[in-house]
Amino acid sequence: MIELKHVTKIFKQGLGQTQIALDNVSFDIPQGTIMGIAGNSGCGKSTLARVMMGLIPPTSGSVLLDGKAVSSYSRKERSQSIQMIFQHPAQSFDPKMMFEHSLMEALKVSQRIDRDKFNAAIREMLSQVDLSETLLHRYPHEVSGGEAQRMAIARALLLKPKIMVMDEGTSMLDVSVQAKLFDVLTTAQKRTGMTMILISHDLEVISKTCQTLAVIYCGSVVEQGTTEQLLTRPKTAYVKKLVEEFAFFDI
Amino acid sequence: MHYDIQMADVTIEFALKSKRVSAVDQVNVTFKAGKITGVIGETGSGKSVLGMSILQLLPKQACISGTCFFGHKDLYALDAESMRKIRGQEIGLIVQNPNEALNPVRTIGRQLMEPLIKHFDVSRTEARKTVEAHLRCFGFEMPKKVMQQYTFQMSGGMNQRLIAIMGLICHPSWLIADEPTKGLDAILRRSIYDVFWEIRQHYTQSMIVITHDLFFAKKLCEQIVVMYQGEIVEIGEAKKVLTTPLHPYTKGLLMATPKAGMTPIPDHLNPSHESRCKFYSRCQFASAKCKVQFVELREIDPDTMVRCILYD
Repeated sequence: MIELKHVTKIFKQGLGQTQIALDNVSFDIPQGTIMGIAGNSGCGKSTLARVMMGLIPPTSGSVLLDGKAVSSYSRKERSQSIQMIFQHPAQSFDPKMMFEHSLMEALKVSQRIDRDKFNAAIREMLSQVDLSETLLHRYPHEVSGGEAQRMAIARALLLKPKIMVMDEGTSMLDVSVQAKLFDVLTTAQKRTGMTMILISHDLEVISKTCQTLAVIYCGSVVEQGTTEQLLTRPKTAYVKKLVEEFAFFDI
Repeated sequence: MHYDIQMADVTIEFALKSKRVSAVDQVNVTFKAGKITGVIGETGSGKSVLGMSILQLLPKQACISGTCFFGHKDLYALDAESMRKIRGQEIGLIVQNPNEALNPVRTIGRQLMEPLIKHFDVSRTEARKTVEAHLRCFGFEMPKKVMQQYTFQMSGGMNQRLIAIMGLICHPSWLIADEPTKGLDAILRRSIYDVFWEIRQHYTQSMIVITHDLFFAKKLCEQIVVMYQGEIVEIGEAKKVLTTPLHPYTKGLLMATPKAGMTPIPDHLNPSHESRCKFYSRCQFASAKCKVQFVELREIDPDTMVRCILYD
């Protein structure tokens, strides 16, 4: 279970100016659920993801993972507990490393098992995300965006995390690749019982995959509840506008 | 005079160190003047390469064969100077990702005045007036102030409007827009739709919109061209293609949308070497006929063309 308690993040912008990216954000995500976080560009969704990951410290408030502050976890503990998929798949990998080495590096950080076991684990994971083993010997620029993103998912799943954060992981991809990725992710979620946090501005995707939803506006959570409730009976003007803009393009 | 853009037998390959990669394969299509045509397809299907080839904006490694007639001119055969006169003046371009495409260290005014000064040899005062008028038309209430600002001082939606102004400030008869909604949130996406509607009402109705956003394409476009692995697999009236698609790939794309249940297109249903059809390995409707017969893009009715044996 992950708990956010009064999390505020303020960035200094020089000349004494500050930017409040997150403003007193609090919510709990029970283990095994899929939660969506929606909002416009620049509303603080990605900052929230980075704070939850422990990549940046909150200015005030705390993030607790199974009752213990994320900041107190060691790098190894954190990589075993929580993993993140970023928006640009090619940028998630070292461009000078073949996928095989990138995946092995992740395993080495989290656990000390021998090379043969690494290989077996990597190959098993590739079959789960429906990727060919030949891709292991390619560099990030030699594969498509969808393949690189599936490789990023494979790397994250290899570490058997309790929590997976997906920050706009499919917004740059087309619908067929997006559907494939969600198929892979939801299958893995059902199998492992991990918690998934899906950060997206695509309400259609959220409505299909998430049980609960929090909508953020200017760094604050403006509405929170079940996805069905928020998308069919929004209470705030902002959520109503978001839902209307999506309905405008209804196919 | 508005001309159609007629592409015939267009093949585009990229010469890499060890091999040649085919991006566009024997494409024959006419983009009709006065119509907004959407080019859809998955990443790597060749839609952007096809669009950028019209303006000769591909990297040096690209090997193009075929013809692309715009009136009496074959755009592929033009030299650099003649092409420069076409770009912006006759065919405008709205590039993807305005935050990266705009120059962060030059004022907005200077960037928007540049095409006018280069193409029409107008004075700076005249160019300034034209830019101000366009900014006002696109909803900037204080154009003089905006012209002195930099692009990083604008929001994403504002920058998208600026890049649209840059593409059409010389009043081209055609516009090519590359992935105008990629990675945008719902509110920005709606504002982009409004920008295109504005362009359609006041500037030009001849547009090629390259996108993987099926919802946006259906709302904006009149004609749809569906590409798969460098080939056109379906052409038709937008509403028809995106509600009652014919080609199995277009059907698969629609089934993959969240509204239809996000069913992915399967990957390895049939061995790919058995047929010359590029979608054969993923096709749920593949039959023994696909192995022996290859279908070119053919007309089903005056507005619809499809490349599939199911409609033979």
